[in-house]
Parts: sequence; C-alpha cells; structure tokens
Amino acid sequence: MTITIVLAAAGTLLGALSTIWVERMRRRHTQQMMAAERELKLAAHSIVLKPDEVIPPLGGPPVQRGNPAIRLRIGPVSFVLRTGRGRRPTGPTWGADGLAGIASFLLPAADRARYSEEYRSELWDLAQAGAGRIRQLQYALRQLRNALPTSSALRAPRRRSSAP
Amino acid sequence: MSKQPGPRMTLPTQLVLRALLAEPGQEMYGLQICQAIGLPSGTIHPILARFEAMGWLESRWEDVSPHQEGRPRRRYYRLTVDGAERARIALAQATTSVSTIGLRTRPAGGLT
Repeated sequence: MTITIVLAAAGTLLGALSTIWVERMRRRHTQQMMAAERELKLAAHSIVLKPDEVIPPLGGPPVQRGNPAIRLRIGPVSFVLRTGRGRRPTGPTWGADGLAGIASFLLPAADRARYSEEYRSELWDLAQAGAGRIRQLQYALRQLRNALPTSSALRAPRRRSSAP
Repeated sequence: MSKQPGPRMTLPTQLVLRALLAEPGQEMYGLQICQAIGLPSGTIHPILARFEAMGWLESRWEDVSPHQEGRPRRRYYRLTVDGAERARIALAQATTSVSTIGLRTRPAGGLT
C-alpha cells in the first residue's frame, strides 16, 4: 500500500517536472524566435533587397547569383527569403547536363574540358533564359549529334592554309 | 604549291560568318550567335571549331570568376583580321556561285 502511494507520488512528480521542462523549452524557443524575427525586421529596414541580389549565407549551402532564394541565419533560426520574380531560376537539369557531358567526352581529349565548360555555360544561359527541361535536352541532344563533326573539325590541323 | 580547299559554305556557315562580320571587332558567344542568326542553339559548334582551326576565328574565356558570378564562364568568339578578310571573300564567292547556279538553272530560250 505504501509502495503504491510512493510510486504514484513519484509518477506525479515526474509528470509535473516534465511538463515544467517542456513549457520552459517552449518558452525559450518562442523567445529565440521573437528575437530572431525582431533582428530580421531590423535587417529588413536597413537593407533593401533588389531582385537577384545575393546576401552571402552564414553557413548552409552557397547561394548563387540569380537565385532569388536567400538563406539567412540569425541565432538558432534560419530563414529563406524569396526575392525577385518568385520563381527559382536554377542551373541546367541533370539530364541535359549529363548529355552535354557525354557530348564533350566524345571530343578529342585535349578539348574535352573546354567544351564541357562551354556547353555547361550555354545550358546555364538557356536555363536562366527560362528554357525548360525539354529545350535543355534538345540543346544537349544537338551537341551530342554534332559531336562527330565538331570532333573532326578539332582534329583538323591548326592554322592550315585556308584560301577560300 | 597546291591550294587548300576553302570551307564548305553551307547556309548555316554563311549565316555564322555574316553574324560575326556584322561587327567584326565584337566578341560573341555561342548562344548569342545562334540568336542572331535564328538557328537552334547547339548547332554551330562544328562551324566555329572549323573556323577556329583554320585561324579565321579566335576565342577566349570570359574574364569573370565563375565562383563570384555563380555561373560558368562563357566562351567568346571573334574574327581575326585575316579571318574577317577571308570571310568576306568567301561570302562574296558563295553568293556569286549561288547566283550563277540560279542563272544556269533557267531554261535556255528555244530549247524547251
């Protein structure tokens, strides 16, 4: 009987302690959130973000220019801001990028790195111009189709006499 | 001394040369050339590579840091001085040969 009473009292005490601890943690988290929001509001008053403007992130993945998603980390809380046009311009799709990589691999070894970067650059420009997955794939497929002519042009002797 | 054959002046080839000759001193990158001549992107690299191998074109990387810009560098193309002169001659000859073909294909009087 006594043991039952003691166990019940201990259980009640543990329950009360855990409730107090959870409440304290919640209050601390709320305070941190409020402080972070206050700092963010102050920061928003002091800076005017232009479309495509980039604030270097404090930790987290690097934010690239042209990407309207801006990650801010204030204390323990991180925010992702969206600016500009509302959509998220990204780089080339992985499929087009992979095909362009294959197209450059078919070129002579000395020129692979150059054309790989050049194809990626053009894919990037296409993506930034709003080209969708299909148009990017079309671009990469054209590069793949033209890999042999490009390769034979690159294998031609340099600076040959070329009287038209 | 044997004369090397000139480039095959296909229509895309002529268009690329015309685009580059429009402002010979100006550098253009691949997509820009495609947009200027209305060809689908990704079709002109064999032509550019051929002319570069012949010494008509020179190219260079854009002078920016990809890390800072957040995008890969562009490859810019420009006609060399010699290349611009040869391109003008080649285009003139291509135009002449096309017009000659046009004259020859006309039916001769009295034979039809």
